[in-house]
Amino acid sequence: MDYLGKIFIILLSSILINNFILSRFLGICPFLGVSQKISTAVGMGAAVTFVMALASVITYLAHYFLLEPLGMEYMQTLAFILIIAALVQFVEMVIQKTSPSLYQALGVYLPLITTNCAVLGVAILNINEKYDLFQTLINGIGGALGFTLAIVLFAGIRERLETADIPEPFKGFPIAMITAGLMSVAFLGFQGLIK
Amino acid sequence: MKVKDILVNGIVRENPTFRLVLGMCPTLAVTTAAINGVAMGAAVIFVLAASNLVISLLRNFIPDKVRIPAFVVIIAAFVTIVGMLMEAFVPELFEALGLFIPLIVVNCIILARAESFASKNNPFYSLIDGIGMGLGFTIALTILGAIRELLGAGSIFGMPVFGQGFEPAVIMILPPGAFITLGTLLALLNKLDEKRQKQARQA
Amino acid sequence: MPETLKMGLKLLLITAVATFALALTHMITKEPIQIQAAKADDMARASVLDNVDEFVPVEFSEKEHPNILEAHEGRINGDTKGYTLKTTNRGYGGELIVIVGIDSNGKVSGIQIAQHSETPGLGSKVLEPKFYEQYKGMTADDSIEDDSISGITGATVSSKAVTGAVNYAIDFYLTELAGGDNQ
Repeated sequence: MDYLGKIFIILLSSILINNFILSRFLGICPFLGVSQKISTAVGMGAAVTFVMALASVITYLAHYFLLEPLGMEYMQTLAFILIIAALVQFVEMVIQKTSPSLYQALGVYLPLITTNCAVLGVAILNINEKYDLFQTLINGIGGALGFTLAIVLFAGIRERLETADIPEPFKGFPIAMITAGLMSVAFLGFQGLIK
Repeated sequence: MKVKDILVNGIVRENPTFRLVLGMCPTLAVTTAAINGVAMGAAVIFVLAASNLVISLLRNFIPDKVRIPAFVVIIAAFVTIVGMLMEAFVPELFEALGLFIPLIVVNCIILARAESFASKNNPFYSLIDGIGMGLGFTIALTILGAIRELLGAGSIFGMPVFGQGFEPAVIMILPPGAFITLGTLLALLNKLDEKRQKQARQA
Repeated sequence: MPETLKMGLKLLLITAVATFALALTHMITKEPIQIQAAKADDMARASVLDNVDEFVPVEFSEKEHPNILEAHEGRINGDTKGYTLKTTNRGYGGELIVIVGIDSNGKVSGIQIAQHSETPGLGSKVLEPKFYEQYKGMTADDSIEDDSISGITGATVSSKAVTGAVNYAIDFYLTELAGGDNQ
């Protein structure tokens, strides 16, 4: 398979087929927590996309140019989580200084991203899959777009559920879980997309 | 505060999965079989107990402003240790849990307990709290895993339960089954709560 | 400023201790992990090509055969009894590693899935004997057609990925090894 085809498959697979939330179960906490309204879901999605793309590239460089030459691959988890935490802090500071309007839109979501397992998850996946730098970037962006797609769709459904007549015991988390389950069924349909 | 109280708190009153709805990623991802639930739970008990203990011991040493990065370093170290030990001695389980072992680092339960319990209580109680919360998590994951395995593969802990004629509902061990099972269980618990409250009011 | 410095130093100290603890655990577990992996490898090779007393690594060009990870010649008392090939292919959930045995009659003597990340309950069924025993006894004179294997319902990609991995082994056998049996 040629290189470009492979890139396309990585992108498609990370957005739809192996959707981070609905099939890989990465990033469930913000998915359930920040999905009451479409507008906040979009904000969260944008912040995650930004951080995930950056984190993918930086952890890749750290792994291949620092940990591997030193023979310290076992430090991977520790190093990656520190990189992500520092990156989130840094991004927050930069946005605050350069673009107050963007900060107002994304600021509240940024601290939550450190403990979003989608970010650490994609960083480790990139290494496990032995992607090169460009593939890593594509996988990071694709995974984040998949996250955004799922959380925005989910928020759209939850906005309508607000006014729906739901049996008392199902209110809150239970109905949210079952809604997510049904969305997940729909995403199973993407399975046959790539042969 | 008593040991028994802390344990019951972690297992029942503030069960991380069923009550606090924390740490959902591994809960949903690995519970395709009961044994995975037990293994994930065991790893989390170890990390929770060890990090709670160490963080509590260091609670006066760690400066308040950098406490979160310090907690994360300690937790990540224990997670890596448990990962290496599992790879060396129980490679099958290590493979089954895969990516979700390093991801214990970002499991909200562990950071939440470090922040809200271990940094305020003495080492002994913190250790007990870690074990209690870990047990609560393990029990929840095992129940979920057992239900999904039973319906989705017709077995429990790998042992076939139904006869040959049983056609398993594969969807239960696929991603949707995770959401639907947990959603239904949470609703069931709400219903039980409601009943109990009604009875309490009548009494 | 000294306050910040003190904070930084304390954090550094914690990280240093953590790193030390990890290095120590790594030293302790490194050997068991390698032994486990080696043991698993040996057992996997023996399970696809039995009645062999030693496995000798075969040299090959990685560039020409990017999908072949390892090649071994199985011998009894120095006589070649067949080959085992470790091949890799892209499965549904990620990399799929298969060990394929080809005996001296040019038949697939068995296959084993060494590593996979397929969907539990669907793709993971490639691990069931009902599926992988199908390859046993197939002649290795041409690629195996997808149709000659009854795939797993709902896991076409995984099933085909296994067939693909077996075909890499057959291809390697035909181009590099076949005819070498009588040497």
